[in-house]
Parts: sequence; C-alpha cells; structure tokens
Amino acid sequence: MQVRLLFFGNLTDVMPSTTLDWDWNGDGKTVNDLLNMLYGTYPKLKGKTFRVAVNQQFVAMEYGLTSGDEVALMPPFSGG
Amino acid sequence: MDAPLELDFLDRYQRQLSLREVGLPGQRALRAARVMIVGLGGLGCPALQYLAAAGVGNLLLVDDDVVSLSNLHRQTLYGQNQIGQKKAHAAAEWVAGLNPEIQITVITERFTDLNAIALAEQADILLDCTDNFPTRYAMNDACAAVGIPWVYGSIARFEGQVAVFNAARMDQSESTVKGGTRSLNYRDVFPQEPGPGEILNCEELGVLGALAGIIGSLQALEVLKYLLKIERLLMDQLLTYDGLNHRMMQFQLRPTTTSKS
Repeated sequence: MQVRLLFFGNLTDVMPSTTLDWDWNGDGKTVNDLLNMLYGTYPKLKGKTFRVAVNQQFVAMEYGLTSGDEVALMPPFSGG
Repeated sequence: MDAPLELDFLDRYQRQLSLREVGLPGQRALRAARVMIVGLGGLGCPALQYLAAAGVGNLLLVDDDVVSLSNLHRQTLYGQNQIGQKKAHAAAEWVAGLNPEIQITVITERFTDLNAIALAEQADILLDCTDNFPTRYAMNDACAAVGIPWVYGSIARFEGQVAVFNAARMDQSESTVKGGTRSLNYRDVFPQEPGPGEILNCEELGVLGALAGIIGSLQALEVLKYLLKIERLLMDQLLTYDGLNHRMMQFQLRPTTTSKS
C-alpha cells in the first residue's frame, strides 16, 4: 500500500516536510493503522489535535484506505 | 452635499450593481443585513473594509482590545495616532468616514460564553475574526442556539482556513443526505478543543499582513455571498489556503463518528 500524506498547520513543525509518501506491506489498512505506524516513526505527532481527510473528504478513524489515496492531517488553526 | 439619497446610493454601488448576482434587490439585502464582526485584528480589518464598502447596512463591531504599535504591520485600518484607542471605536471611525449611512454598533466587550447568545441574537450572521479556541467554540455554540450562520477564519504563518458553519441549506432536499437542515458546524470538524499551548497564534508564530488580508477577504466574500443568496458557499467544506505554494484545497466535511481511542 502506498499513500501520499499531507501535513498542515502546526504539524509541519514536527514532520520533516509538508508531504510524505508512505509505503507499507502488511495488514493494517485503516486510518487508525496508518496513524499508529506514523507515531512509531514520528513520535512527536502523537497527541496532536487533527482530523484526517482522505482524497479531500474528512473521514473517521476506522476508514479503510486504498493504495494511492491522498491522506491529509488537518489541525485547526488559531490565529486571527 | 445633500444629494438625494437614491442617486448617491446608486452611484456608490454602481460597479457592483451591474453584477447579475447583486442588482438592486441584492444591494437592498446588503443594506438591511446585520453583520457582527468579532475581533478587529488581522482578519477583522480586511473583512470589515470589504463588508462596509460593499454596503452592509448594519455592522456590529465586537472587540475589547486597544490599538498597539505591534498591530500596525497587519491591521491596516488603524493609524499611528490611534494607538491606545479601543479598536472597536477606531474601526467605527473608519467606517463612518467611508460611509456615514452605515449603522455601527460598537461593543467593547470580549465575546465569551457568558454574553455569546445575547450578542449573537443581534445579528443575521457572525464573522469569526478571533485568535483563540475558547471564543470560537463559544461562537459556534451561540450561533447554533440562535440559529444563525458564522464564517470561520483562522491563520497559521502562511496558511489559512475558512468555512461557513451552521448555514441553512438552500436546497432542503439535501437535508437527509447531508445530516440536517443546516450545514455542519465547528464541533463537527474539530470536536476536541486543543490543549493549552498546543496550537499557537500570530503573536507566537508570526504572520505577514498580506496573508491575513487574503483570509479576511475570503471571509468577507462568503458573508456577502450568503447575504446575496448565492448558492455556492463553503458549507460542509473547509477551505485551506497555502500562501507559500498558492495552493487552495477544499475538504468535504462529514460529522465525526465518535471513536474514543
């Protein structure tokens, strides 16, 4: 499976870039599974407040991913 | 100087009256509208400028802050000679200079959950130009209680977010499919308020005024479209703008299904 990850707002402070291509073999296919993998490599991501959108639609954590999906991690912004 | 009101009115708005989406009915709708702008800072200044200029007839300005020197790099409504003045009064002066016909209500209070409903009841639509989460959640809940929409805006360095929350669906046949007669609201997108210090604001992160100008202008545009009943609003959507790459994206919102981990 391969997905393209997009990071927004304060998440760009804890990730190496605003986009990341992520490949994996194995069983995990849900958004939850993907996040748990990411937390292993990028522990500073854990505990941050954000929603997940797949192909520009916000989804629940149980959503099943398909290879080629674009997965955005979207925190709220604060400034005004 | 006392030319008949009608002629002045037509002359002032001539460049937008010719838009099919505006016309005299639309212009009258703008004049009758009551728009509350909460926050007269980086987002509030550009938003107010374009709403007043377009002819919104009743503007309610909510801010308890005063103008400071560090505001002037992005809050372009204010002059150096207004440092120390309440922003709501300074902004009202600017509006009066642009168009003395606009009814201005100055509210030098902080918008909190204690006064939110009483404030929201005075308007047809609220504009979120605030810089903190508690105020946004208070605004969201008050607008839901009162039954009016609000236009969300927020920024982080070179990025911004805009959405129209709690607006009545123009096509009620969509209600069943889209989960209700009103568009989704802030808690549907971000049910969990971030912890203190997790997400920083402009004072902490930094921002260029032009980015605030873009997002505040987008918010003003959504308010105008709402008042003109243009059926292409950011309802059930979150618009994001990335000013470094000039990328705009629109994310479709669904209500969150609660799955506590």
